[in-house]
Amino acid sequence: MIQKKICMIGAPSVGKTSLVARYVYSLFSEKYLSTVGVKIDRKDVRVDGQDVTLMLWDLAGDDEYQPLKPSYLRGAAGYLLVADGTRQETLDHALDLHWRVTRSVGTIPFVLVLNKSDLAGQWEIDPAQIKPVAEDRWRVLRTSAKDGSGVEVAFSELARDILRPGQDRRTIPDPA
Amino acid sequence: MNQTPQSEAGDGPEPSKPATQADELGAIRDLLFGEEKRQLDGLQERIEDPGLHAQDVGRVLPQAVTLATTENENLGAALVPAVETALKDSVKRNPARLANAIFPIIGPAIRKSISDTFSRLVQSLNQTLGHSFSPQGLRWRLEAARTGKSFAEVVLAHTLIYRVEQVFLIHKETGLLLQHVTAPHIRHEDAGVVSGMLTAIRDFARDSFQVSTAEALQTLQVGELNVWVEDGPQATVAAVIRGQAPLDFRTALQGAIEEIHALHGAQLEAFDGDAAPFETTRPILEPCLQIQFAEGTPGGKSPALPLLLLLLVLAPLAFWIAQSTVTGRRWSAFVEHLRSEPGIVVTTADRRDGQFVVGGLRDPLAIDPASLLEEFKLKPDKVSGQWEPYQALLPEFILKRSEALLQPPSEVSLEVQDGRLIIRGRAPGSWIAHALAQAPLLAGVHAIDATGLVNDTLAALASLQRQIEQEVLFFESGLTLKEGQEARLASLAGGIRSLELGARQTGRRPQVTIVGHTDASGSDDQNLRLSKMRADHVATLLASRGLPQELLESIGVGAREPLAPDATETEPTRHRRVTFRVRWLEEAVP
Ligand SMILES: Nc1nc2c(ncn2[C@@H]2O[C@H](COP(=O)(O)OP(=O)(O)OP(=O)(O)O)[C@@H](O)[C@H]2O)c(=O)[nH]1
Ligand SMILES: [Mg+2]
Repeated sequence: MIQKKICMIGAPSVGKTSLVARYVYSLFSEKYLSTVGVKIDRKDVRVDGQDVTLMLWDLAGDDEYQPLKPSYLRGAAGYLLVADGTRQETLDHALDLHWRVTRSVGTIPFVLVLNKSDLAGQWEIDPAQIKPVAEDRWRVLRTSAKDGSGVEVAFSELARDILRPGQDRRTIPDPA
Repeated sequence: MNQTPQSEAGDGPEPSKPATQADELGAIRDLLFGEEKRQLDGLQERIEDPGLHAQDVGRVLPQAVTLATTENENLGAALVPAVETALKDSVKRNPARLANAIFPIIGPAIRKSISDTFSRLVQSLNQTLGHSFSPQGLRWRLEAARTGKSFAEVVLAHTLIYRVEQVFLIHKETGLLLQHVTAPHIRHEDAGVVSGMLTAIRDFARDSFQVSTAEALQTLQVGELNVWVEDGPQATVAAVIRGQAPLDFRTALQGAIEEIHALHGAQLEAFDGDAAPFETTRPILEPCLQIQFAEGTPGGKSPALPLLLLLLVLAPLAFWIAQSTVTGRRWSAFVEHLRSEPGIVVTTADRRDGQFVVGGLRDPLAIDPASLLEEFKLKPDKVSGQWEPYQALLPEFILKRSEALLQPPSEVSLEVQDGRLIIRGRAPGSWIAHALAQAPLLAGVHAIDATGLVNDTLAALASLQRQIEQEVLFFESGLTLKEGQEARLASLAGGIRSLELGARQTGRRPQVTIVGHTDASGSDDQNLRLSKMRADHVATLLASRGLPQELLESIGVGAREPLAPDATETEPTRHRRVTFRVRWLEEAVP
């Protein structure tokens, strides 16, 4: 059986842990327990007829006290870049993290998710904002760890990208 | 002997009195008991003569042995020393004979004995645990009841010095699990997750304390468990140990990770998430599942230690046996298949030091044995081939070889019949020349039949020649060509050039003779001169279109070759013309 390491990356409290909990255990909790260090879970899936085990590394949200550790990224086959759709700044944060990841491990498959889509009333991210990255053929999806929408798709899109490398995937040029 | 009394009785003509008395007694005795005495004497003789006695015993022996064994067991016991001596003697004289005789039963016997020992050990282990009602045993029972652990677990906890419960083989970069072995009856968490967490914890420690990669965290302690880690360049081995392992266990771990790198270096390098190639590291990791009990404790004396040691020894052995029988079966199937492959003659198929060797003769056109390995699930690095090239004389191979060497064009078909190569179809002359030169050199070809083969080049040349020879260029008068004739020169020049090129392949060279003609008016002399001039003129025109001079020659025939004998005067311009003839010159092809 093929195993792949996948990292959950994003600002604190965007819902990385909740997305994993929803995906692996079909559970959701309103309680916020900030992740310290890293927590690993596994999920066996079938993608396009191929069985694969995803080892999901749920990393602590990146901030000045607990900055993203490059050593946790080593050997990752791909990552889920998570932003909180109700907080504009988490998207900017996610884009910044994307550059840091790419610098550290090179270009590997990833999917950008705008989480908490169930909170439509508080949505802050205007479609025009994600248009440039979507046009650059990033995979961008809306998810909700709470009601489960988009979660399954986000992970399986990522897994598919990992297993079928070389399909339409580009990154935006480094702004730095 | 039995004649003596009779002869004594009949041979004494004058017997003395006492003698007579004795004789009479003898005679009476003889009369009364003669028959019985003779029988007694006979019996005595049978008993005393070893040969006769042996015959008698031999007659009843099988029956006697059967009787003796069914009725009591003494015979068996009595025979033991004799049989033992006999076996000893037999082994001394020719060990091979006995070995051959017992060979078929020795494997099953060993297997049976191992499984017997096993079940007896398990049983007595259970008994030891079950009956240990010593004060200490009672205390442990209480502890078991209190903690909710099984009694066996508590005993183990008190008597164990250390036990390696799990061994992980982890891919260093990704933290993904390559292999995991556990001691029997060990409950454990998802090994893949543990493997990842272990990697993450070590990454964390390394980052947090800013140490170099070489000084990675090598020991972790979690409650009663110790985790010992040994790193190789690409993989890490981690052992989960209950209790205190001796320092030299670290050497064992180092040895294991070194061996794994030595055997699987390339696979570690290429690792992309597929752990299947590391299934074979089990026999390296399993010996790391060591266990040691404290001496003098029930655990130490109990058969658990030998049992577990036996387990440790048997597990890799069983694995190896299973593995090698499966591989062995695949191997035989593979060799069988090779034997049935045309163009392959298997002369050796052997197993040396875990390496399979197959060899023999192989036609270079036969299937490559290595390409079949995958189908038979054999690892290419375990199988080596030693093939001597030879040329198979099967018709299909002669055919394949012919096709490879001759490379017939699409319109040619080859066939092999009783060593005869039959070539049919159409082909350019150049190919035919090449084929006829090469074919006799083919192994297995004794004769060549090319009667069904049409030379395309010759056919094409003949038709070109016909076209050229039908060509006529007409003159108005003198050296002036009729209108439209000039244009035909171009296609004529092209035709001649093709003829020349095509002919090269056949080893010949065409010579085009331009023949000038005139009408019948005027003198012969004049006409000859004029006709030659016309021919020369056309030759010059052709040469100016790039035809080599030496291809062309010109002659004049005046009016000697009229178009039609009766048409001489009807239309003079029809006779003012040049015609063409083609001659062939043999030329050695360079
Ligand atoms: N309504 C809603 N709440 C969510 C969703 N996902 C996460 N949450 C809530 O957001 C909070 C943070 O979620 P976590 O999953 O712990 O976030 P995280 O990204 O793992 O945070 P760190 O580990 O600190 O980086 C929790 O209170 C969750 O209940 C969602 O899709 N919808
Ligand atoms: Mg978290």
